Amino acid sequence: MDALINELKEHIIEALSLDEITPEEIDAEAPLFGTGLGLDSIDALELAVMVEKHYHIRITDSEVGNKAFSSVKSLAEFIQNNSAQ
Amino acid sequence: MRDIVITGRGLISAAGSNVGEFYRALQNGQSGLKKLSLFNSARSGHFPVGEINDNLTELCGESGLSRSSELALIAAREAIAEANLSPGDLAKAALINGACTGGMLISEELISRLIAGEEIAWPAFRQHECSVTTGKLAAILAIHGPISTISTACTSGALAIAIGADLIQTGAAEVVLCGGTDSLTRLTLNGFASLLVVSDIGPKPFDAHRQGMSLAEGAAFIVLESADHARKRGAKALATLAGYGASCDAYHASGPHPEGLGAVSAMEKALKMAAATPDDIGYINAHGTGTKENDRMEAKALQKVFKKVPPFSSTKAFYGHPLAASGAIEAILSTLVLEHNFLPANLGFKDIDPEIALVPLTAGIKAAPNFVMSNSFGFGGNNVVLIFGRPGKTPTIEQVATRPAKVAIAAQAAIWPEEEKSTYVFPEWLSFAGEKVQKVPDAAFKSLLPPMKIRRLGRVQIMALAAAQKLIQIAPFTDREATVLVATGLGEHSETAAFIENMARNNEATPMPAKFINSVHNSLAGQLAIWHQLSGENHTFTHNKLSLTAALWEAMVILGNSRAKEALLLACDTLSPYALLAGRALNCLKAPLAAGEGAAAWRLTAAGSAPEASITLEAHLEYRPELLKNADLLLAAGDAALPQDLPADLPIATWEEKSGVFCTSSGLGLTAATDSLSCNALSKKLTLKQGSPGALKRIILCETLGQRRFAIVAEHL
Repeated sequence: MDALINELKEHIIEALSLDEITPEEIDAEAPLFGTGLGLDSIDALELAVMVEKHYHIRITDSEVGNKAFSSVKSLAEFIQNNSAQ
Repeated sequence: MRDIVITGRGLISAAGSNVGEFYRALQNGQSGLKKLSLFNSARSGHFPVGEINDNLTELCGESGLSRSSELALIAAREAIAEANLSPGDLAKAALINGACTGGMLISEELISRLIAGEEIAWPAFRQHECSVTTGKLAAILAIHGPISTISTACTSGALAIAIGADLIQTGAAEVVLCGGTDSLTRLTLNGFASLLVVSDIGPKPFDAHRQGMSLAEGAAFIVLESADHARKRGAKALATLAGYGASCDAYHASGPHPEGLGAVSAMEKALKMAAATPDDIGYINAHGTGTKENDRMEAKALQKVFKKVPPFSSTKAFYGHPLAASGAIEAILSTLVLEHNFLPANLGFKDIDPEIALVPLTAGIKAAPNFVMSNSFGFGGNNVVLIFGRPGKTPTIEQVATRPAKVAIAAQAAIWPEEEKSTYVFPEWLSFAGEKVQKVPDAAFKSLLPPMKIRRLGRVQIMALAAAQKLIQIAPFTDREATVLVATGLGEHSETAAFIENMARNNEATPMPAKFINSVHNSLAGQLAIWHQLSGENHTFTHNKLSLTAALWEAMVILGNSRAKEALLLACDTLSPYALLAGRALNCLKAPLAAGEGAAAWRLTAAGSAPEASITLEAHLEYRPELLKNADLLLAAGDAALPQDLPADLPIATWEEKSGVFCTSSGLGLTAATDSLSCNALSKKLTLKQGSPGALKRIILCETLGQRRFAIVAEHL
């Protein structure tokens, strides 16, 4: 799980051009949207593309996405739960 | 005070290839949506689209046009035929075209082949820009009046009609051919899919189980005419254009304001101009794309404006969402409602959404409204509402200036490129090298803005925002309702290219949503509105080297008619590999001139409203030799042909040796002109070509594209 979380932080920084931020600065349990990193709905769409690209899970419903993207940890759990066994 | 009437209509859509077929489809409740067959795409088969299956080249009777241009020409010809315009009427007519995709379908294929290592001759990209369609239409139809191209995403076609009405109101034209066109492309298919707003089952506007929109293509043009002119030549008025309203949400780059505040403002402005009350509206053609967000927002907005919401429908389940054509198709639909006393059904609706709590027309009905409202909303929070009236039943548009008024400069800012030429670094796979350019260093503009806030934006947006930042450091905007008018020849060219390159490399598997949102030409204007909270009319003019004068002209109309107290006028274009190569192919870059980039921004008010402002501007959509009377200096782009019969002693200068060559370099030229007026001395940014200027009180700047020449008069009071 920790390995996945660290990997996700790298992917998030790349997908969202968060050039000023290091993986260590991202709190895995802090909200990604609103407060925390202060991401917005367009970032959520970029994250959906990132998840499909790296983990082959297609998110087609923005409400499913919003739930999965609430924090890095919740995204890691979403990916674990939805990956082909 | 002038009445405006519609005397001709033409359209082509998935629900009919002409107005007659389209009306029969509406009557019969017959949707034209089906699976994509136009081109191979990884997205094919996943969802229905509004595709047109006619042989367009045959129908339009011209070869060598892009699909968007073919669609536009077919619709324009039908409109001209119905209006029965003579060649003489057409020669004097104006043309306003709303477009988003231009020759994108061709560019997509060319870029795929380039990436595969093929050699491509660069003139092949000539169809790319939206303004090419406008130019081709004018040339083929022999239209010699003012022309421009509007690109404001899904409101483009409706806004083109509103600008056409402005041309007639101010006497700049008696007849305007206006509308919009867009073809299906991989860019828009993948882009909208990446925003999760495309429906697998087709649109179900306002329904509880709606999933999204169906992308489409089409074109529609109408002939707008002053009622006097139509009467004199015995043309039948099919409807009146009773009013229009435009606004910007200033909220989000692609999604609507959740409470529909911008939509409410546009509807209220349109009602006010039509001197109508909400009770007068007998039918509303909703934007109703079928996305969750749009329909929820639009329903809320309708409930805010109308105590009792009149019969309404979204008709997009008939023909899909043809982007720039949508507002123009629905303008024609509005006139059909008035002509046939028939309100079309909202196909696809079955179950009430408790969040919406409104029921659209589930079947077509007979009714005879005197006023019909048509809504269009788009990316960048852009809103345009048109109201059409029954001829003879509707009062005159109020708030009319006989001429657009001069505007005064309250503040001005510019971002110039370096004078020293450097070598442009092309991406390796383009295998070009050696182009000398004049570049704006990143430190000169990116550093003005917080990095987190610009991380997803493209170069044009960032440079435009930086210019606006410099402007508000001089004097911030005081009017929340200020209008934003942007001139850009190529828009976010690099973002568009990056999106297409990525599609080609990854077989459309991993689209780039932010780059898609940036790719629309009005992404600059949308960002400017969001950053500075400016919710007035928000227009983007993209007609190659004639963009700035048109945007300034519209500023004069809006400020002169008190539709806003302040205007942000901004001109911006940036360097990109494709822009450079197109410039080289089109032979625009002749030594000693090099390609450049930059931005210019102004805060404008109506002349006379700010006594401290000492410099006024006036735009002319046709250059006339009389403008040179008392002129102290003529400015022209470096490579432009000069007007004939100039006074021998008239000093002439250019700005392009300092700005470099780009579509809206005239913006930097204009800042140099007004600096020269302020100091009563030639600005160092100007290079004198002939003569020697004395006192500088009146400077004429010409924008030139082919045979067309616009002019801006800058004067020191």
